[in-house]
Amino acid sequence: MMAWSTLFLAFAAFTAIAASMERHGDDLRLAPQGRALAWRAGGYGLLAASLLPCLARWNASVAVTAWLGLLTFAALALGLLLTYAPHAARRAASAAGAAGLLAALLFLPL
Amino acid sequence: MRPDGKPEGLRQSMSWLHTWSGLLLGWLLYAVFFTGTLSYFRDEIDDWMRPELHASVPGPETAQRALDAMQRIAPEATTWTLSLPGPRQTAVEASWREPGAEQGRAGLKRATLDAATGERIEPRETRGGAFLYRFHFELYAMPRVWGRWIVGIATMFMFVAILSGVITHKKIFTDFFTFRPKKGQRSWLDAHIATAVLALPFHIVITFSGLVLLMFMLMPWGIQAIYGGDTNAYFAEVRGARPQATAQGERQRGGRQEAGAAALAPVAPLMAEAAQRWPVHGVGSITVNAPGTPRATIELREGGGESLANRGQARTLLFDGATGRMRDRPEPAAASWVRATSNVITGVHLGRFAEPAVRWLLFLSGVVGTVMAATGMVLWVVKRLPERRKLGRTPFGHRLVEVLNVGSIAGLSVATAAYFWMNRLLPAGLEARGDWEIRGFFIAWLLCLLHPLVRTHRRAWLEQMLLAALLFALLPVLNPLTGGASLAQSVPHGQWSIAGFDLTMLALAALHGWVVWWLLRGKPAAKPAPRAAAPATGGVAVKAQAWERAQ
Repeated sequence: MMAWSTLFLAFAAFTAIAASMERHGDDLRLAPQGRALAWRAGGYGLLAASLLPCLARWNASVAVTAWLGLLTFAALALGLLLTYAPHAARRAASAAGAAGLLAALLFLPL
Repeated sequence: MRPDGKPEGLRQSMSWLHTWSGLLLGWLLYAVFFTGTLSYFRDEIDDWMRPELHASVPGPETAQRALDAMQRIAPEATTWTLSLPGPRQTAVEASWREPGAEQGRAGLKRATLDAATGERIEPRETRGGAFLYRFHFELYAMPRVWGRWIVGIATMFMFVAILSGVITHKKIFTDFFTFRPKKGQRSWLDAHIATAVLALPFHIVITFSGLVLLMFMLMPWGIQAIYGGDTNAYFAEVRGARPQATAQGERQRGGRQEAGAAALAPVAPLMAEAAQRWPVHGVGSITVNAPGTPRATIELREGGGESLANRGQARTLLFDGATGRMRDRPEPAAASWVRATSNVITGVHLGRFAEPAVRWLLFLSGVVGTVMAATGMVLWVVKRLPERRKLGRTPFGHRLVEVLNVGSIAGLSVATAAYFWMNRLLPAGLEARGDWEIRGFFIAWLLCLLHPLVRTHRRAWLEQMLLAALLFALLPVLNPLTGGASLAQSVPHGQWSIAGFDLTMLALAALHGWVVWWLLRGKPAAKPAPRAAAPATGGVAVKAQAWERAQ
């Protein structure tokens, strides 16, 4: 469950980062002029936070390994979505962010 | 290398380095990546390739049945070790040491036991997953040291190709999520970059750790200088070996005569105790020391580790054999940070620590790496199409690369599938059966290297990919027909090693089938120059048109 949480959160984070990029900003319709920096900062912040569910699930060394692997597939998924269904990316990212957060809140030993 | 004679920048020279180191070692590295990725499922392959084991369905009684069986098979042994079924293994692998047997592996006797009945199973002779595993770092049919040297050097070039690739690709961040399909060369480049950059942590770690694993052979001078050539002493120290272990064995052996026989306590409560402590991995193996004597001990070992720093070292519980009471035992010493670092690096590569989720992640990352190598080699061909068009003919070198690409990429899939088919089609009692399976692998591969010589480039891809897809897709059908457990049996019984193999073969069939479908759609724009092999000018004209459409 923690792996899914990380995957979803990382997907949302990468979408936020993509929104701050010139090439994808239009597709995502998230970043009006000048807000790019905020999206980027938020994206990287969320990306860092997506490590937490892994750390809750695994010992640190395994957690970082799994996290890096999950980042790869979150980014690949976003890349494919931006290619074939760019306008669905925004909704997908919102849903993924919510699902990831929910999974983390439900299962993280806070 | 610039035709206009101007000095080259760093990027150009890196690009040159990346292209040529990638091409020259690409075929080898592709094979290393492919077989190495499959090796993450080495145990599953071993189970699948021994269909005699498929009738063995684990249950709650398995541990007790196996111990009872050992009482019959080896009542005099000084130790029994039982590797229990789990998600990656469907039967019990037993080993024991008879009194007075040699030290080390040579003195061990082995048997495979049915998990439900404890009966001995005699599986067919096969190298199983070990062949693919060994091939990925030692190759085959040459002295091991040579194979390791070749793979080691290729790995170094891989490291060079990764680093020079990152430098070459200047838009690494602006292109991060970009894939532009149906644009010919551009699409191949995007695919190559995406699979490289997005999985970069995996590529760097797996290459670097691969080098570290081969380091003792590539750079042995440090160990030679300090240990005076006694490499075994070095490895023993690295592992933190305990020399007193043998003395203990002697004592136990002596104890048998002085004390009478004593039955082992039932193992079920011990297993329950362990299951409670290790909810994730459960019990992986049982070791009984001095069975049948009052001094017997039962050691339960966890089925996996928690940390990479101690190389996935499992926790253990020790019980008194006769009474089943737990005994205290000292905590194992923590690894020093030097050893911990080395353990983390090599542990990641070997994936021994990995529970199914992490193992799948490593496997899928390996698939991405395999795709990266393949797209890079195809890119070499696609990128040179304009040059070819200008020449009006296909230079020998280009044709050679095309042939080798088909044979080494599609051909390896066919060969691997053929290896699994041979496993089932060869008679179970054949002399040197394991060797014949491997010969089948290499014969299939060789045929796949020759086949593109007599076919056009596109047809060669198509036919070999189709063959690979069919061979993979039919493996789950072949499995029950030749004595194995079908998916309808393995899934409900929770035999995930067998079901996982069959399902993975279906996934591989789908992947190859997708390539076939994509080739058949015949969009020359997506893959220019289908007739690259045709020597007639007509072929060149088609190719030229294709290239123009690709622009």
